[in-house]
Amino acid sequence: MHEKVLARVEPPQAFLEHLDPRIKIVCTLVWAGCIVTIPERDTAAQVSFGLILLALLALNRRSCGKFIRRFGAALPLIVLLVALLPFFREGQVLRRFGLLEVTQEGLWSAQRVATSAILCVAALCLLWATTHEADLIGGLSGIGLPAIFVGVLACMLRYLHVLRPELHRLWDARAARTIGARSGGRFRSASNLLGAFFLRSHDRALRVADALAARGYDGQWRGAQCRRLTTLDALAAGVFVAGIILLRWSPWR
Amino acid sequence: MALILSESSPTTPSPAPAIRLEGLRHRYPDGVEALRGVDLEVPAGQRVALVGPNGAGKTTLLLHLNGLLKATQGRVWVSGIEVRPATYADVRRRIGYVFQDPDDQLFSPTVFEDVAFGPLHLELAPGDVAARVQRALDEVGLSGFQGRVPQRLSAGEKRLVALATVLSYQPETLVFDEPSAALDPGNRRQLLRLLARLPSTQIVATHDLDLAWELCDRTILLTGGHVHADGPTRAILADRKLLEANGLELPLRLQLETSETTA
Repeated sequence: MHEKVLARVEPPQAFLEHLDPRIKIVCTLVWAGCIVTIPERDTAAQVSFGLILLALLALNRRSCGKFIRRFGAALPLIVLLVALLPFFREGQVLRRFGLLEVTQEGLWSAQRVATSAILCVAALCLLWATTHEADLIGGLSGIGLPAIFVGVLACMLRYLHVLRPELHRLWDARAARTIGARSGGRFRSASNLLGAFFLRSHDRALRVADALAARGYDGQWRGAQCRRLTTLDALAAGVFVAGIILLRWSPWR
Repeated sequence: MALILSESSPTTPSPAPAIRLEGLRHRYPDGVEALRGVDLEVPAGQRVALVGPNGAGKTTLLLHLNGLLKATQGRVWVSGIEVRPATYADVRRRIGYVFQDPDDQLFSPTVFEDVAFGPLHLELAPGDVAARVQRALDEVGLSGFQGRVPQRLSAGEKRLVALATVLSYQPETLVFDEPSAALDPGNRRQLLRLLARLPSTQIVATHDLDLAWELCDRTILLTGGHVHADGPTRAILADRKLLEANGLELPLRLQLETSETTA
């Protein structure tokens, strides 16, 4: 249950970790825009974008562990999203399962949605894996997201760090007291644990809010300001955005 | 009836006391009356221990000092400013509240951001914020901890970082709720030395009567939501009958002295 957590925020090392968070967020948005507009059955474009993503991962090998953990958590949701698509589109029937029919168009549709989802989610995971949480919040604020949205997101992310040790403590206490319990007993104690966790989270939230208010928090989140953009930031953003736009809409493709 | 011992007030009272409470009452929504009319004045620069059994109303009283709880009745002034919604921002920059559990206070991904939280809300320039963070961490002896993750620090380090989070915005009055709870003797000693060095007004709610004995000029004994005794620490904390009648014991050092004398 215990997760390995870094005791120190490490200085940036991989290429993407050096880039300004605003640049990375904007590039990710442009990337998503290109991906979702790839037409169905254009597998060449899908493969090209996939290769670019692999190249970026190779450039940032140090963040691969974090990337895989985050992407692994999102993968079941993508599978869930795509699993039923082959059955719900009219077209040439390939196979029947009772009342359900798998159509060729349905399969293409599922392939397109799956590829788009994988490429977009993977880009988001790469952004998350190569950007420190505080920089991510600063970057979102820097690109002009409403302050209320940034504030809620910042509080939510930080509160997760507060709750994680709380859950660990409850889990350990439960493990220490459920010696040899049958599965029914274990289920009951797990339910109790969740109930206690909810109540504790609520109490903790009130105390955390008091502690924030005591230090001047007035509902407006004030994080450290973003640094000035460097030539490297501008160059990287220019090359990346121009490259993927050309790849997506180039007239000679 | 409160027991008031007269030889207090070791510092010269300023025109506006650091803290003034007048008839402060607080009733929680469940009907429990935690404070039943507290009158109190703390001159600037004084170090005051707030002692009493569990449920005496110590934390409730502290939470009124920066408007985290609203008085059911009575008034509170901080450096001459009445505590009310319109003055919360002004009052809160004058009161540095160190909570009982540092985990409630440490909320950011890095120590730097937690310590910078107060100065950022004072709208200081980024350079000034960084300088304040550095100075506050130097003061608590944690230079170089800026990049550390608060949740992964030891209990003693968390306590010191929590203190740095309020020192960084340079409040006039420091308020501590059980500052020595869960600290080992070494960390407790370090905290004590640090608090003794700080020049600001300090109000310390504690069950650690030895800490109160060493640190505070004045002690207020709170019982059942009202001030039962108020006077010089050496007089209040040496009064065995008074302490035992209120669910407390002599400080350990006095107990040892007494047992040595008896032996």
